[in-house]
Amino acid sequence: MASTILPDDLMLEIAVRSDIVSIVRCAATCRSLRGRILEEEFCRRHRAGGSNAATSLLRGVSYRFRCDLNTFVGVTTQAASSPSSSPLPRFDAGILNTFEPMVSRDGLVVVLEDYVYAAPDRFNMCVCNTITGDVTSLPAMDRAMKVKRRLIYPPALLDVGDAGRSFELLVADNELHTQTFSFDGGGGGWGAARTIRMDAGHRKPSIPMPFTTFPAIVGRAVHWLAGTERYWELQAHGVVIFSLRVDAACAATMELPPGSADKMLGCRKDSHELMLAASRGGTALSLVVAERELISVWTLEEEATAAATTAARWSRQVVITRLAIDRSVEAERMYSNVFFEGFGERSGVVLLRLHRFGLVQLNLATKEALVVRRVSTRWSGSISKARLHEVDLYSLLRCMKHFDLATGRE
Amino acid sequence: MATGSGAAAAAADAEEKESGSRMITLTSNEGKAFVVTEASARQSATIRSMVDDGGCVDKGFPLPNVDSKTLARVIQYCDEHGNKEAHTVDERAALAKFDKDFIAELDADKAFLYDVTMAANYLHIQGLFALTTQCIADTIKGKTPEEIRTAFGIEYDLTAQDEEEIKEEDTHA
Repeated sequence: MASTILPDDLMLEIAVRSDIVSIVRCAATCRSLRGRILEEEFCRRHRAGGSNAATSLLRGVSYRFRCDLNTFVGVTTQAASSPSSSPLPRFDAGILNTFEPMVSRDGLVVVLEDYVYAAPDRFNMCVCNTITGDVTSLPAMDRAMKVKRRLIYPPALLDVGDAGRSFELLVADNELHTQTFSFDGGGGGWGAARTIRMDAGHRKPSIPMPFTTFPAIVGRAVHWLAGTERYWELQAHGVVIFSLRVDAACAATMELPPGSADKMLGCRKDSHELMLAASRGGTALSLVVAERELISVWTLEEEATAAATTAARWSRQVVITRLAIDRSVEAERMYSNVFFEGFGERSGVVLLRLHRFGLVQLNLATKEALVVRRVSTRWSGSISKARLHEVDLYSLLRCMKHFDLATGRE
Repeated sequence: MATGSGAAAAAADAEEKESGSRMITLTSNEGKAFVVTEASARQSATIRSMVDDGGCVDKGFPLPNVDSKTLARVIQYCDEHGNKEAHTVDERAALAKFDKDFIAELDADKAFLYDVTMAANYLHIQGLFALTTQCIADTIKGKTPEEIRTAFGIEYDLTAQDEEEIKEEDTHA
C-alpha cells in the first residue's frame, strides 16, 4: 500500500475530486498511485463526476481589459465558487496586445495578428499551446486561398490530440476553398487546397462572420454562422448555418431554428447575439441565443423519423434570465447588448460579454452564471479579446509515462 | 426524501414510516454501544442492506473497523441527515449549513478527518464520503508532490530517472 494514512482506493477518490494540476501532482507522488491514476478507470470515474468534474476542465478565461491609461492583459482562473479551479495555464497573454484570439479548444488557442500590425497582404496566424507554452507559427497558405481578413471563416481545430501536441486546423475562405494544417510534435504543414461543393439546391452564403461567430465542430462536420445579405445589413434574420462536411468536401446551408431570432432584443437583432456550439460533449449542434429577457439554447435533435423536417428537430431550452445573471446591479444594465465570446465543449460553459456590465461565464448544465469581471457603468474600461481555456484531461493522462509497477509495489 | 417515483417510492415511504420508530444498536471496536434510529442508521448503505436482508436487528451491528470517537462523529452526521426532513428550501439550507460547519470542524483535525473518511467508506455513507473526500481534495490544491507525500505518509519510490522523465508533465511547477 502506497500511503500509510489512506489506502490507494481512497487516495484515488481524493484525486478524482481534484483539479487537473493536483491530479498530475498526485500521479508524481509514487508508483502505485500513478499507475491507478493513469488507468482508464480513473477517466471513467472522472467523467461520472458530472458537471462539477466537467467544470474543472475549464482552466480559465483570458481577456484584455483597457481603461484610460492602463491595459491589463491577463488570464483569470475561475472564481472561488468553483471548487476545482486551478492555477494559470501556460499562456503568454501578452500576445493579446498584437494578436486577436480566434478560437480555442483543448488547451490550444489560435491567434491572428491584428491588422494594424500586419501588412495588408500578410496573414500571420499562430497556434498557442497553453499546456506546454509552445507557439507554432503557421507558414503561408496556398495561393488559391483567398485569406483576406474579413473573408475567412474562423479556423476550426478539427482534432486536438496528445494534450495539444498534435492538431488539425482547417481554414475556409469565402470562395469555398479549404486548406488544413496538420501538426504532430515534430512539425507540420498545410495539405492541398480543396474546393468545396455545395449540395444540390443550396447556395453559397454571401459572407462569413469572422470574429463574431465560432465554428461548432460535431464529428467531422464544421458549422458556422454566415450571412445571406450584404455585410452592413447583417442581422439575425439574414443569418444561416453553413455546414461543411470536411472529408467529403461538401457543404450545405440551414435556416436558423424557426422563431429563434424573433425573441431577440431590439429591432436590429444583431447577429453577435447568436452563437453556434457543439453541445453534449461535441455530439450535438446547438444555437445559443441572447433573447430579450433571457439566454436560451436551441439544440438540433437526432433525426428520429425520415419525415421530420429539420425545423421540427430544434428544441429550445431556457438557460437563465438576464436579471438572474446578477441581481445586485441595476436591472437596466442587464438589457445591454450581448456578445458571445466562445463555448467550451468539455465544461459546457458559454463565455459572453454583456455591454456595460462585464464578462460572464454561463454553465449550460447547471444553468448558473459566474461573473468573471465587471466593468464600471461609466465608460472607463472595456473588455476585449476574451476566450475560454479548457484542457482535455483524458488526453493529458494518456500521454503521461507509465512506469513498471514491479519495483514500486509492496 | 424519496427520489424514486410512483408505487415503489410510496411503498418505501410506508415501510420507512413503519420502521421509523425502530432503534438499532451499533457497536464500536472498543465495545461501546450506540443506539440510533433506523432512519439514521439507513444513511449507511452497508447497514441498510444488512437490515433489509433481515439481519438480526435486535442484536445490533458490531463495527470492528470503527472506534468510538469516530463512530460518534459519524452518527452525528447520520442523525442530522436521517432524522430530519429536507423538503423545503429552508430545511435544505439548514442541512447545507450543518454540512459546512461539520466539515469545517473536522478539517481542523486532519487525522480525525481521515478516520471519518475511512469509516464513511466502510459504512458506505455516500453523502458523508463525498463531503470528506472533497474537503481533502481541496486541501491538496496547490501542494507539490513532496507535500502530498508528507501529508499522506506516501513512501517515495521514484528513481532519479523517473523524476527526470516526468518533470515536464507538471506545467505549474
